[in-house]
Amino acid sequence: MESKRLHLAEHTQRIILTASQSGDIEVPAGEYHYHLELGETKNQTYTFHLRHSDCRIRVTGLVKSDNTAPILETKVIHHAPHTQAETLIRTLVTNGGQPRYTGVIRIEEGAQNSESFLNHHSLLLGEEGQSWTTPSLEILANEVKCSHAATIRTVTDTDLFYARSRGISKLEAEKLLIDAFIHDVQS
Amino acid sequence: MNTFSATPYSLGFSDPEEYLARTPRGLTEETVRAISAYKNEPDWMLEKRLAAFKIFQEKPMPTWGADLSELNFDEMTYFLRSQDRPERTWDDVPEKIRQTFDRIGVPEAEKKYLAGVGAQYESEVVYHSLQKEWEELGVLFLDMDSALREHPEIIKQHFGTIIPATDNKFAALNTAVWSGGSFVFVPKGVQMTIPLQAYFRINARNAGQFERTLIIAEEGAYVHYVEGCSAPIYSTDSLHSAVVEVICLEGSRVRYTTIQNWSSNVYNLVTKRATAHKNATMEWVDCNLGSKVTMKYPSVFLIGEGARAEILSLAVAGEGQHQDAGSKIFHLAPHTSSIITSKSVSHTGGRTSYRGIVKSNKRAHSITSKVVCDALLLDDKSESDTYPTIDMQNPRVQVEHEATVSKIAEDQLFYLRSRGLNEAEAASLIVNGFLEPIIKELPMEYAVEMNRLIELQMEGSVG
Repeated sequence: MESKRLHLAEHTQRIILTASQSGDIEVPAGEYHYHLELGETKNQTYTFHLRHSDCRIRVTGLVKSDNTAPILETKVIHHAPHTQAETLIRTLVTNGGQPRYTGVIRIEEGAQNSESFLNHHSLLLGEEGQSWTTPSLEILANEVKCSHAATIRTVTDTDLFYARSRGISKLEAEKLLIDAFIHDVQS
Repeated sequence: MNTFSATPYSLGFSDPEEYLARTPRGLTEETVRAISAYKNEPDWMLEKRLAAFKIFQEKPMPTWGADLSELNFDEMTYFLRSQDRPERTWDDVPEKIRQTFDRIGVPEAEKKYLAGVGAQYESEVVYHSLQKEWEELGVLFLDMDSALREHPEIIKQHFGTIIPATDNKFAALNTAVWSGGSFVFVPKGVQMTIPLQAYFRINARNAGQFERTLIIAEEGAYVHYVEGCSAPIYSTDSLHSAVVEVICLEGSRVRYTTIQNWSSNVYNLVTKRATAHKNATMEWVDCNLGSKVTMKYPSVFLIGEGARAEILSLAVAGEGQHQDAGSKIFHLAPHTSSIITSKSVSHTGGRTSYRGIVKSNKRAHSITSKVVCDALLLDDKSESDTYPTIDMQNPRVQVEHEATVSKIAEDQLFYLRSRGLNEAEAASLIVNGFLEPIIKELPMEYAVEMNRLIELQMEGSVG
């Protein structure tokens, strides 16, 4: 599942953010990869401000909702022109978890030639899971490329059939599908 | 048909304001009682109106969506009667009003390709007709006021069951002061191969129009209902707040097409909702081109197994306009499916917003839903927002959503210009191509006019 659209340099600095660092994050000039270590805190908001031209960031995060109801909100606000961002969030729901995610991309007036993408996928396992997602776009400049995509799905019999017809056990096959699902957002 | 115009808004002409009856400006309990008395309604309807009026007073204005702070309920006139009853032939409609509908092109379209027509002028329907062959099959197509007199038992059974007065402030307002609108009943198995059309015209300044429409399709029936609208251009605001309820019984299909072309001083705050029973299909084709502010989110409640919903939403916003449109789908039964396609264009400082929700309950397993929203921004003064929510309470689902916002690509413009088109022609061709998936769903005559209207609206907006 390769869904990266923004290509950062190999040596891009990786910054791990934990719940204690949630809130407003001023992104310095340059290229950064922010990875959210979401842990157990129930309610977290991360707001990234891109105020330097040519600033490029990737934000990744994996929400594990195992019979919990975590609430995550990410905002990427493009203040300066020629800024680029990509947000990749995966939500894995097990044992009746009830996660909520809101992902905002905002392009301020004057942030021309900016590009921003957001990609949120939820995988629901078991008989009880739920998922709630609102990816939103607020665009005040016109020379932009912005998009978001969100899906909510379960592991289907078709998914399993392929693996099992190749001699992989059901448990093993599910594990493989989960690994593929979270591949993009691992730190 | 001249649904639209030869100049950017040529439907902005007005007639002198002469009425048989009108309520004084502003809204009080007296206004509600007067409207009911003018119509000689049964007591139960007056009671519904008064209860709704109380709800309207208690409910706060919505704090989200478009800016409604300039909307003044005390400035509006809530009821204007221009003739005694709906006529069955255009010759019986007063000349002034007939000329208005002639200029819009309604009688001409009726002759060519419609099964029936309703024409509403201010608060009440002035003309209504249904071709004989459909009448013989048991189809009912009347204005809502006549339907309440002639079929009170059906109206009493269904009125306000899909959209109760408590739903939102504007549904309450409509229930309190409703007047006009259409009642459509298509009996079991009847397939209406040509569309029904209703046309709504506001003429007076500071007028409020509150039509109420109820459509019932019985088992296996099919009907396509088209509505159009326009108003004169005034410097003061008018209010249009309709409620449309649609019931699709087992295996039926209803398509409801709106071509909203109000003048730029109209607040258009409309509640539209359908229920789809087992294996039924509901389709909203919602095109918003006019008005100052539109807030409208056609909804479908999928309550029967195998029910389907399709929503096509098109919005174009120019100077001073905010189109806050979208859709709501509630999956309340297993094996239901929905598709939402939204296309919006903002130019010359206009603002478009897509606001929508797809929700399922615990019971609704094995559902699929797909939501696609594309927005085109033509200049740096314009704005576009997207607020979709997906809320799934059963894990056995397949739901996809995607949205994009972009401008007209330089390479597309370059390609067309290298073939001899000027910049405006090239831009308008690209916009038409962008909107094509929705426009191709309109009946031919409307599609042609729609393309022309969009071209005219965008004149001078590129470059």
